[in-house]
Amino acid sequence: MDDLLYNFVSFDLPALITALASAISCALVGSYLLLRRQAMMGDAISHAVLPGIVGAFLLTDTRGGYLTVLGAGIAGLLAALLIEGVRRLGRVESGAAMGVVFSIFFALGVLMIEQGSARQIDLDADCILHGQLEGVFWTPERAENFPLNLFTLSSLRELPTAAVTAVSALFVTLLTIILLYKELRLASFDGEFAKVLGFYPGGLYAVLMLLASTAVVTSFQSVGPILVVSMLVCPPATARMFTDRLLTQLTLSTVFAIISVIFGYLLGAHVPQLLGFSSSVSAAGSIAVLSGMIMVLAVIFSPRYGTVSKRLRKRSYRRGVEEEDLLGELYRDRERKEQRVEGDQDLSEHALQTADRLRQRGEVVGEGDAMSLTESGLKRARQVVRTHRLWERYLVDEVKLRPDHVHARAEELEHLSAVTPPQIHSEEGPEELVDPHGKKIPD
Amino acid sequence: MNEVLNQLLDAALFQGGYNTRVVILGTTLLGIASGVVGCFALLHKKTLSGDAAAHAALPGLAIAFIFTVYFGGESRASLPLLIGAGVTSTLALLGIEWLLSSRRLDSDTASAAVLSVFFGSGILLLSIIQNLQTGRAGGLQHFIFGMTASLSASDALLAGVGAVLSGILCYLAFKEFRIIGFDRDYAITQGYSARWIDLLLISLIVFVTLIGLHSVGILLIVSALIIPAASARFWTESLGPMTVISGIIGGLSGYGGSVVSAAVTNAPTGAVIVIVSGLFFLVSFLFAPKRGVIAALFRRMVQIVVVAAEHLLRESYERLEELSPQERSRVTLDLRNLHTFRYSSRIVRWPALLLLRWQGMLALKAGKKIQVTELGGARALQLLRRNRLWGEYLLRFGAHPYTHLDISADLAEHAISEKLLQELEQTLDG
Repeated sequence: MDDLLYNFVSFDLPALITALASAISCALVGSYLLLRRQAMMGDAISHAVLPGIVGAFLLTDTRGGYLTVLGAGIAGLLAALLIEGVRRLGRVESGAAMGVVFSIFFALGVLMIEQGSARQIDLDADCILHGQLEGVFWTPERAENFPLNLFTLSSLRELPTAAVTAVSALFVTLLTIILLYKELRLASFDGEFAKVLGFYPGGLYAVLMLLASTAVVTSFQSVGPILVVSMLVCPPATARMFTDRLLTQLTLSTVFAIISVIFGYLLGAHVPQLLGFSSSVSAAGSIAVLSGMIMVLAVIFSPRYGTVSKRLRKRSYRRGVEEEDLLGELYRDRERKEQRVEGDQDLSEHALQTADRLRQRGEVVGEGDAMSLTESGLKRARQVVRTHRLWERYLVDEVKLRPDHVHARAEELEHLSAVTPPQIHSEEGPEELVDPHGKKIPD
Repeated sequence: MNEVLNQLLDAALFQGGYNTRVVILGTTLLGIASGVVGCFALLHKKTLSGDAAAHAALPGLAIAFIFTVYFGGESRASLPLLIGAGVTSTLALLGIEWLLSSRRLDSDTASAAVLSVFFGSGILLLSIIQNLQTGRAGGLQHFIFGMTASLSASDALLAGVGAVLSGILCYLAFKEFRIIGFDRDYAITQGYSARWIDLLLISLIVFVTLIGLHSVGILLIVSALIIPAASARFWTESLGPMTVISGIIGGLSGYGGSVVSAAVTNAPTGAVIVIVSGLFFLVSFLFAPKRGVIAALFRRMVQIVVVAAEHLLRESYERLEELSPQERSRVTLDLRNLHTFRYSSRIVRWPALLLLRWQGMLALKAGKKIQVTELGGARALQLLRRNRLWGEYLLRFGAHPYTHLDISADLAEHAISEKLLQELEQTLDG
């Protein structure tokens, strides 16, 4: 039992804490980037910090110190500035400006790594690229009072720097977002308005870029530059499928980030062994894949904006239109029969299905030529025809369209439940209300 | 050091081994092709899709690798790997389209999400390959950063042929790419099938990405598409010359990058190619005659000085306006009394003064005094006329209050051409 606990504390816990802290700060910053439609900026920064990290490493010969964070932060900010400069001064489209700047930065970083490795410096390009979540471990002394001694100063001092930097970056990010909540919200949704109110959007933008660099850098070591992008983009994009409110957006993306990290880590680090494979697979990779899958599920099944619900809504709207059209048709037939005009009852396959639905709801009875409206059907049909004719009246009287041009438009407008039909008042009283074709508008 | 130089020279002059020669040739052709295709990608704003396609190649490479090893094939055979990469790249681009069709995520988000998730699955598969221990995954690592050393002559030939092919396709579809890139709606009304052209361009981007995987690598191939095209944009305003310039820059970068990479140890080809093309970009960005930053800065500075000089001249003349022509050329004005001189910054006022003197419009006298020459008077009169006509125009037709005319008129006087002046005169006469 103790062995299991010790393993958990020394291997899984530090990795999980690092990944969780990184993922949460990325999700928070990513939400703002997403709202500004600058998700690719996260990608650009995550590539651009490479020379800063390598430079700090070449100078100090240690990986993951605070100098690394500083170097990367400088590189990230410099890249953001250069991108803005190239875009404005060179009048280059923003996607291209990003591509130019970040790939040059990244290339420099790669070159520095390779040249460094020529000088026997242990900095593996692949290692940097993939990130080593598995490499984050904690080796506290295993004393008599084992679980308790973890909280002593000497044990805590042994905490892996990756975990410490990730957690402190999370605190910085949280603090900045709390302090600048109002300002960042305003600048993200309406930069022009923020400027008018006297805020300084450029400064806020710089703050955001600084936060993004910090989040990227601290996550860099554990998950690598490209998987950081999945942390920045996927949880916020998933949250975006569910909400339109900033606070909910931030909360939900944090939740999705936590889910992706915990289950992704388990899938990568432990499930392969449970299934009998000899060793685990990249936890960073499985976290990225899982967050992507959650996003795909959200895009499909989100109740408000998902593709399925959208399709269902579209179908129910289409059915409503078909029903209303059929009801209107039957009503007009009734009118004509009263006037002894032969009605046509030539229904297509589609219309037959519509008729079936109406029959089930008890709005029509009978089939084919004998189909007729029931009491409730008549009520709804009258409403449809009334709306249609009111719109026709309105289009002729107010919009000044010609009477022979209004039918098609009224046909569309009659189905819109969100728009109240125009109120037309006749001087002769409601009984005398007629449409432009001389037909009576029912009550 | 000498040794490196010798090797560099050997490689540059195609004196290296057969393999090196073919590789350099292949990379150069690839650079040309990506430069040309990149122009259209830039025009159609598809550069980030290229990035996504490249990153998404990794899982394809890994799957193809696992399959070939499983069926006992040669683990580094190029064709199956490229097919695998092509399949996942295409899937990624379709995935982006699908995410966009939800109309809830913008294109940046969709590209970034697809790119990172596909790459993540690639990393996952790579770690599985390492665990399988059936073959060295080392062959695959080269695809990430690009390494011409890992490039065989046949790979380079494949890349070269592919590059020529895509170049020809671009030439044939030039008109379609251009019209759809500039005015999509117009092109559709003219009967062009935008869908098919989009598809063709996307396939070209994926194609160039794939043939560049070996030499430039997944992470940097997008720059082979973007940087030459973005550099070429600085030198020209029309698409035809832009593709030519971009092709040349791309070719030179490919050539330079592979030569350096062949001669210097530990210089990954992809990174060197990007840095060489980055230098081309820097030069274009700074020194291009029209769109370049330095040229623009110079133009702006000249403009500022000319405006300041003209203001100075006009104010001097306004002080003399009441006098007769004979008196005007005799009166000297103290610069310290002129508002335009007193309140303009030091950096601007002396160049402006020198400009006027050089043009012979002012004569400088001792004790910070000036005299307006006859030529200067004539020029000032022109400016004054433009200034006042514009003010009059604003007053009559622009419904400007009397107190608001000055600022606009002061700016407009420098920009009113002879033709516009005539128009103003006619309008105000009537």
